Amino acid sequence: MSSTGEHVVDRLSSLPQDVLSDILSLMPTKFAVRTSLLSKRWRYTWTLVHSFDFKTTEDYNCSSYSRPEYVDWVLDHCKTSQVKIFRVLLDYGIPNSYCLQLISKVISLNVHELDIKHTNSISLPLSLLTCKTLTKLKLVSSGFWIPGPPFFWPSFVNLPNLKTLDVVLYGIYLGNALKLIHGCPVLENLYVEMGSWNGDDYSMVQTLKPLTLKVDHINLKRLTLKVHDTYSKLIANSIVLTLPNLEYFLFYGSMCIPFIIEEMSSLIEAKASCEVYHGDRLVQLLKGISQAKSISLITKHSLGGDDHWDLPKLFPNLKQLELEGYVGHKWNLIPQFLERSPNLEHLSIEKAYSYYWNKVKPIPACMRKLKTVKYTNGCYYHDLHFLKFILSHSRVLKTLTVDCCTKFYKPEEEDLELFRGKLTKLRKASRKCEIRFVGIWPADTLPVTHKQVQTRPNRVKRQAFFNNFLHYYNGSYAHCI
Amino acid sequence: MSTSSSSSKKIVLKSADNETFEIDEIVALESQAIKNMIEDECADNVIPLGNIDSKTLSKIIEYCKKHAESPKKDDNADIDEKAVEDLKSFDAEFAKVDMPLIQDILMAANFLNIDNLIGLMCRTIADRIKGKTPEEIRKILNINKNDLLSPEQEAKAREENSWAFD
Repeated sequence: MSSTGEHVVDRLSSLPQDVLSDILSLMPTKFAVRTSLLSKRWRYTWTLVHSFDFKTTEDYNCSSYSRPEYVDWVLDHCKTSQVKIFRVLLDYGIPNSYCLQLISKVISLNVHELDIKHTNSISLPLSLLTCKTLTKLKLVSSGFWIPGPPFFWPSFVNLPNLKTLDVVLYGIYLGNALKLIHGCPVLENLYVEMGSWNGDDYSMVQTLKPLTLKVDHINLKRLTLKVHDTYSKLIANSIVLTLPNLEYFLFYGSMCIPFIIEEMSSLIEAKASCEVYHGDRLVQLLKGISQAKSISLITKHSLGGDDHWDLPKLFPNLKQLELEGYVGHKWNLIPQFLERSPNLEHLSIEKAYSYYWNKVKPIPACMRKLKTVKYTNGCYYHDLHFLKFILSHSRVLKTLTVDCCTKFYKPEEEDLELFRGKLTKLRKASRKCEIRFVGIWPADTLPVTHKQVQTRPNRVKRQAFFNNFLHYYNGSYAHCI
Repeated sequence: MSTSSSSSKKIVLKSADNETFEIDEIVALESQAIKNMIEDECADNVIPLGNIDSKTLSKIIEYCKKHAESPKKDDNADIDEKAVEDLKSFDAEFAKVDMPLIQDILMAANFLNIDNLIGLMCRTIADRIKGKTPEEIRKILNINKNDLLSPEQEAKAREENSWAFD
């Protein structure tokens, strides 16, 4: 098979057509078309492509207001009768009639995956709503419409093979998106993003009422919601989810809209990375996802008001819990999680600030199961308080990882050394427990010795303060040990 | 999981240059073509691969071995993610070879019907030629200089697809 030399035809073009077709389909279509200049043999090879990507903005650098006629030209010259993927970016200057005609043509080519980005509202052909070949659809636009009277949308939406639907609405009208979602009987993956305003049709905001984003679906396995602040409230007034077979739930953005989870009992993993201004909405969310095996909560904004929220009574299946930001910094949430998650095995906390750790009594059941604990950004005395609790009660703990990151503050090297020294001396209920230090710890991995301390008077002072602190908390904490 | 115990069934592959490679059956099963041969019981002790040289074949075995040994989908999400990452970096390293060998591997993978490997080689070739000028691509693919378009043909091709050459 090896061959190099002037007189041999390049081996790539002698590959089977389906392999060549795959290679040329893996790049933006303009690059595939450019291979027509390579040689006589390559002159029309590009017409084998089965997937089209016209999504690069540079395709529009000089003609953003005119019809991209070359798209038709390419489609007309390609040999495929089954388009695997079709991606296109349509500028708002392109007439709606052209968009309709183009999408109709792609649908008549039995398209499997359709990815359309339009910088304004887009008109969709009726044939899209009953397309049998479509398995994946992504629509990014202000809104989408069927030509006809205002808000006309047929009742016969049926996409029998659509498994993945991504809908990004920067603008306003949710109604059609809801009809689309509920017209896909085998839908498994759904992504809905809303409220990312591009400023185009603000005048329409006042004319429409926000709707309830109600998703009630039997087959859905994965749901991702991304809610942008402010404008989302103009699109939806509440979110209601009834998803008995959902396994993965991801929420990003702002909890600016009330949230009701009616059913999510098959949940495996839930992740929320959000801005929360009302604590009760976070509690509402936690109640909805309380059956999950893995929960990750990352909150970005500090909440005012009452700290004493009542979390769900039980997280019966929870094995893995990650808390970051505000939920990590409020210590009173962490004991609640520990008390109510009897099967917790892996705990990771990233704290934004230091606060005092309060006692937890009786010792939570999960302390008999906890295998790994990761603790980030805590190298103050208060943190030692919490870690002492973990180490002295977790009987099967395998690793405690202490990550000293510098996201929020940069600790003094000497403080770190003292902290590490104290931590490694703490009593461990699990003999096999290994303590790992990651992040910017000082190079010396040995605990600080008394001798070292004496040679630097500055450090003696710190040591004294530290000992006083330990004395204080040992006293107050004796009942737990 | 890995089943590279010495007791497992072995398959012997013979390259075009008569080198033999003894591998575990589970590694050979990564190739749909060999799998079919074994299932149809038309695989003798030694499978001759008259169109694959030993350099290419040893690369292909390296690939199949890694993929056969990597843990399959499991209910432990942690292991899954790690294994996927590990396999990804293996693939990235694996593809860092020169173009003639990539083409040899692609042809052989196509013959042996190893889907993942065909995909990896196609992606590698696509990544290496996309965005390049025709002259650069000709060099990368070692395209025969006797087969070039005439200036008139080239002008016509450029005109037809002027949008693609902006």
